[in-house]
Amino acid sequence: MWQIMLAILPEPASSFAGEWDSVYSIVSWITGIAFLLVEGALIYFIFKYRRHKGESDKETPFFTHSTKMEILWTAIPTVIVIFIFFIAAKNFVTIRTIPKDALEISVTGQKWQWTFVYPNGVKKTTAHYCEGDANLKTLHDCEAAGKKWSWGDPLVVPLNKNVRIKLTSIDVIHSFFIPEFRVKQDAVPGTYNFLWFKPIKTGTFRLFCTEYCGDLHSQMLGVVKVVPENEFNAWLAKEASGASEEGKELSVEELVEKGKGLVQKAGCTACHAFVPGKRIVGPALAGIFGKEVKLNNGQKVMVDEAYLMESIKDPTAKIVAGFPPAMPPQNLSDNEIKAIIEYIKSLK
Amino acid sequence: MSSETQETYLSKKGIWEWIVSVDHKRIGLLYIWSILIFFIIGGTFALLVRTELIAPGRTIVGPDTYNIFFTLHGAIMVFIFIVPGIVATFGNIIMPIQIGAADVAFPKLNRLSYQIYVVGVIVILIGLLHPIDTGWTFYTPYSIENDSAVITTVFGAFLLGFSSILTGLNFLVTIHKMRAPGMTWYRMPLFTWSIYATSIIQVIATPVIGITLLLLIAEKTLGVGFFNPKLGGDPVLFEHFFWFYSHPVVYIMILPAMGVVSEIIPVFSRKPIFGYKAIAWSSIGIAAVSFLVWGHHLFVSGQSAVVGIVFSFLTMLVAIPTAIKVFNWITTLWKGQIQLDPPMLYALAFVFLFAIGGLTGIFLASINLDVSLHDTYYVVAHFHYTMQGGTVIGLMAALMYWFPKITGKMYNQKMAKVAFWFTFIGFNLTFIPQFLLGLHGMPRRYYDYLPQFHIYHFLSTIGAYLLGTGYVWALINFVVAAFSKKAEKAPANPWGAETLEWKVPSPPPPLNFDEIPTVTDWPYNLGQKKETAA
Ligand code: HEC
Ligand SMILES: [Cu+2]
Ligand SMILES: [Cu+2]
Repeated sequence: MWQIMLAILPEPASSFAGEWDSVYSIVSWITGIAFLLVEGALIYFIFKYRRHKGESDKETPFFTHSTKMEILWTAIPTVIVIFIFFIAAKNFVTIRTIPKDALEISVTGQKWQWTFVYPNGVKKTTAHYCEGDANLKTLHDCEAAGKKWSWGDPLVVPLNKNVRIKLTSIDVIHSFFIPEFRVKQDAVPGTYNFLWFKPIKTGTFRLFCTEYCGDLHSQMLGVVKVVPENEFNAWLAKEASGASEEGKELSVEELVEKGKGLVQKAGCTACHAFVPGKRIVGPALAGIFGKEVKLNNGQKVMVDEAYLMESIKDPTAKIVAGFPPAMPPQNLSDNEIKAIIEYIKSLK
Repeated sequence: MSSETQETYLSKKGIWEWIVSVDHKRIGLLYIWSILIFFIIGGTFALLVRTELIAPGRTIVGPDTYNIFFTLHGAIMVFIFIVPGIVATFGNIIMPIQIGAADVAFPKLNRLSYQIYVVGVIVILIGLLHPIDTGWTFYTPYSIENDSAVITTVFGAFLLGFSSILTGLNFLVTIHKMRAPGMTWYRMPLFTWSIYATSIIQVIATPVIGITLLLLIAEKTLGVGFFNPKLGGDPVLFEHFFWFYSHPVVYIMILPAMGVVSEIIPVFSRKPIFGYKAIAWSSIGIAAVSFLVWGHHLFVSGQSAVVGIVFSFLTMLVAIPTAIKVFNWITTLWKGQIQLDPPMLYALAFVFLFAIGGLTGIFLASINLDVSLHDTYYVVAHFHYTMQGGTVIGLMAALMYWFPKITGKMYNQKMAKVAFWFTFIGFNLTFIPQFLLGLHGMPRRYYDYLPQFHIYHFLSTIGAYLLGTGYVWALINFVVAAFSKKAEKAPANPWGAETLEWKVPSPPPPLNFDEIPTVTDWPYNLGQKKETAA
């Protein structure tokens, strides 16, 4: 019976989610009873004292106040809300008191993806694209076409370990929300916010952006993967050696291939077509290399590697004529940008 | 026939007469037309939003257009429709008559308020040439980097705020200075009390949003860094400023609706209002506390935990005066002789729905629960229960109640009841699924959603269509009655009420009273059969 109220919640999967659920359930019972009493009285009185057809005027009691009743119905709600305030604040203090020994993961929000950086430098990013058809912009439309949708890299975290998230944003405000963990915190540009959790269940959960941030706000999701600690450590070590490989020389083909993946993952395809001449939010990026482009200040520049590097690293430095300065700053390493440039070069 | 020849405030014909008139009733009626037109427009945007959400994936528009839809829905409903909502309309038409005055204290200022309102609306409409997509909250730095018509829209909202301040000032002075002889504070109708409390908030809170919006404009045009971290500003500061106004403003919206209901329930129960003083003072109490709770919008913004807990406590306190009012209304029904005419149906629906809005507010005030529920559909459902289930239903109750007074005609009551049931059922069907969505973790302002949320969105959209049907039906019913020659004529006091506006003819003469009345009692001696008792 007690549990009924909890059936609709996402499964509790962090150390403090259980207490959150009990507070929720207590508040549900209290307000549920209040609801029944108040609405019950309302409906009962309406039926009981309703004037029937043809009924003549009746004399009604001149009942205008009752100090006893009024004190009672002021005092009881006061006591109740103060009680609720206390149990809620208690759980909140736990949610907001970050243990000292936590593993820190830096999380950066940007339009419209999350980047996770682990203490050893391993970097992962979320994405949202339809594998094989960049024109299908939503999970539903992609799956309806029989294709596979990707949310990019998951946020991998160890089971039963305290994890601290150091949160910021490089453009507008985003918000980091994992329903199963009962945590949410805004990612505010220019400052760091912190949150923590201790996962108590393995499995995959959902990360949502919950602060409106523009066109693809509803696509700024991610997958959270909780794995046993030894598995986590092995994964992290493997990724770290993979990351050091990033510096190693790739062939042009490999770079093009990597760049092709990156423009989907990094969300460039939301605003740029990779076929010549098609305008989305920004200009098409195919067939531009080696040509001249007109800027909004009237100047013309040659599209070469340096220009592309600058355009991606510092989007507001030069603005293409006829386009809004709508490109968000990117959170990509030089190597990644080089791969993207190779990919752009390959598109004639 | 004398009633045919007697001059009413509607007698003078011609557009010019409406433009130059300083009669509070004419100005109020202009407000009614204005807000209802924008209610339809704002409602249309809501239905477009709901239609897009009927299924996951792209349904009718892309995400950029969707974002414009929900922004315009919010901005129009909040700034153009619901803030002037009941105050500027019925506050204007009814309040001065209720206190036995011939007009408001400053009739020309009153006209100026309306003119500023119109200019503000026009400025916002100009902004539609390049419609904004920031959400009605204009959060920085999103709104700073945004190149849509943020400046125009924000300036329009600034002007509307100005109009609201002037109206508030005017009403405060009117209530203090223009009461008829014998109209002591405790003989004042509760609707007038609620307008008084509302005016206080309008005068104190609105300048803050005015300044905030100007700072935002300065930042966007001159590049002064108040809110943009790139210029050394603080985006969360904007949230504080914004909610310092926008929380109290929800009481600007709801208090007058509570006032309306406090008039209707005793009249249709044929019984005095229970707890008159408690209702009057709880309005003032709510107005006072309303200034101290804005931080409940910022629990997860990075605001310190201690500050959050203090705000959580203060927010809990709002529940108390609110609960007291609900108890008073219900006790008024007890042993009454309840007559379910259209105004009463809407008033009772107000109590029913507002109670749900209030109770779910306790979940959101519980600070740990809000961490998860913040910015999800739970919040959307909660504030629609208070703002729509509360204020809009209260406005409908007011229209049903005072329509005969204002137009001198009676609307088709059967139609009004059918429309009511569409509204009531549609409303619950729209928003109950949204509570469930929020509990599941569905964030708000999402163009697209995961497949598991589909059924709730589907139900919600169907509900919204029913709801829209109910409102349109009710409004058409009014328009037909107002303009048809065949509509039944309304007597001076069709509902048997005791407040002063029912002692003057329907529609009232230009100066309301032939002779300013002397008041000897409160207006709630109902159902005591005075006429036969002797
Ligand atoms: C929010 C939409 C948006 C996203 C996402 C975006 N861009 Fe852009 N981009 C634009 C716009 C608008 C312009 C044109 C204005 C300008 O020059 O800044 C542009 C311009 C460019 C240019 C210069 C094009 C030219 O013709 O000179 C390059 C190169 C570029 N983007 C690359 C990228 C890459 C690579 C990514 C992904 C990492 C990306 N953009 C993501 C909107 C976007
Ligand atoms: Cu977002
Ligand atoms: Cu608030």
